[in-house]
Amino acid sequence: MKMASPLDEKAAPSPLPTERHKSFGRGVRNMDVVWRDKINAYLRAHRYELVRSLRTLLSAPFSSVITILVIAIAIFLPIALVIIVNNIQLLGGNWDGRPKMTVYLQLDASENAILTAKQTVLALPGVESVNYIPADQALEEFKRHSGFVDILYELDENPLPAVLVVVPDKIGLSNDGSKVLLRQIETLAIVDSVQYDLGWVHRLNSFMALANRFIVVVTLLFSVGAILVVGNTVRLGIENRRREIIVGKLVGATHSFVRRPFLYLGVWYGLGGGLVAWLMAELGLFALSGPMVELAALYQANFQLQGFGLINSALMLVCSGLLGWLGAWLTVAHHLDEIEPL
Amino acid sequence: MSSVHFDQVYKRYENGHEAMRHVTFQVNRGEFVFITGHSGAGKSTLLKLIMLMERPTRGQIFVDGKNLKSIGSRAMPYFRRSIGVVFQDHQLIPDRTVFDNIALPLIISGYPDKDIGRRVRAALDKVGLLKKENYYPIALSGGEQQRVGIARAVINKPTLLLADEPTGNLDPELSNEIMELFMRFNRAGVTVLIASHDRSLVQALNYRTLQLEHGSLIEEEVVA
Repeated sequence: MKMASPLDEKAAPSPLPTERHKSFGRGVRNMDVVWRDKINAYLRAHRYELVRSLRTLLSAPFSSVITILVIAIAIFLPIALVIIVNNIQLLGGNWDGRPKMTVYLQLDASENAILTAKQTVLALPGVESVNYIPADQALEEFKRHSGFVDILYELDENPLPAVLVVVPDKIGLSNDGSKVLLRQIETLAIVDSVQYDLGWVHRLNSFMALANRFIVVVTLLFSVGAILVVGNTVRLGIENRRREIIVGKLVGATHSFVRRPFLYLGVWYGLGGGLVAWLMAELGLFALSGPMVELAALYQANFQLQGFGLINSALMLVCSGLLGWLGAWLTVAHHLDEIEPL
Repeated sequence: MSSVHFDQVYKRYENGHEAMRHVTFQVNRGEFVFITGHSGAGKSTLLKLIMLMERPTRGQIFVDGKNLKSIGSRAMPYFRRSIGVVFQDHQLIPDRTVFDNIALPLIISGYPDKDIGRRVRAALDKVGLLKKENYYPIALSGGEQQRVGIARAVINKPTLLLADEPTGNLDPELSNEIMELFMRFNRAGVTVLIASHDRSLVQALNYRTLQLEHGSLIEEEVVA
């Protein structure tokens, strides 16, 4: 099956092949006219099928709606997954994306000793920067970011130690380098304990990688599903319109002319499915956003569910249309050649 | 200048049936010619070969001087638009109106809507069905359906008109009406080739006749 480019559609108003060739020899101006006629005829043919295929779709509203719903569900599932993972990522992003080493110092450490230790740590290989957070400041931050404000007010004295936040460089992030650095910092007398959240970051990152891979697989599977649904529906359409196809071929319809109504049908199914899937996702988000804000408020956090965004929604619709087109094209390529007048 | 020229055309179907055995003839532009013979004699095959529904096993066919061998599957639709064909079983689309059925070749060729309306009504007028443009084929009689088929065949203003048993199931009076239509197109300069097994009709009309038997041309009558 050859793919026909738009220019293959020689739907010129002069039906005779010989006439067509003659008209090419009449000089530049006439050639322009011929091309304009061809382009007009081409656009007209598309407008005609656009309207016709919509009418076909609407003439059997029940089966069209069923098909569109099936496609919508196939498209909705990957969308829902993408939205969920995006929101988890967003939650995770509330940490600074970069892994840090939190060095808790002895509660009784003096300011001078701390500043010396800061310089020592900064000089270690694998360290990019060191940030000193005094105990008072740590308490303030803790009050601001956690949900335990009320408990903290009950305490007489600051339970928090001073902290050095160490940002490792590339060496400090590597598996071996991080171990060495950790050991070196832990051996300092002033250090109480070290918490290295590198593990967390690694775990979150690999979870996200897994989730994304899962989304890709699900998207592929469900896209194939959508393509098959469109293909099957279009195949039935071809069977129902066998007579029309044969008559068309008898009176000089090109392959693209015969194909076109079915391709449009496929695009409508795909677009319809995409639109319904999008609506389902938006409705779902709307339904969840209220409880989500309440839940976040319980933790005194400020978190809002993120939707799909305008550009992604548009992209998703285009992809749905393309899926429908592809499903129709595969079927049409396979079945239309079989239908020849005898 | 011949309009249709068969040169030693031989056609053998895949099942071994020899439908056309070394047939040679020539139909000149503007002629009106009958092809007769019993059913299975090769009349339909002959017409199918001209409109490229079949390809000859051997031999060559020229239409308006063009060797049909040179027309590939890509050019075939454009070639088909240049000839009008009337089918025995009408080949109308049941869920489209008379108007839409006749308009189909024009839509395929990409004519603007206003031209389509004008030309379809002109064609409907010629076959006397102007009042039935919004009917569906099923609501028409056999003779009317045949006339819709004829209107569709001539809508693209072909120079060559083929008809396969156009009076097949019609009573003599309707047959004469249909033949009268073909004769009118012929007088307007269209070359007409009609396959018919109806000897009486053919003889009554006194046109040149090619008689086929078992795929061979056995008799060529030229009636003065």
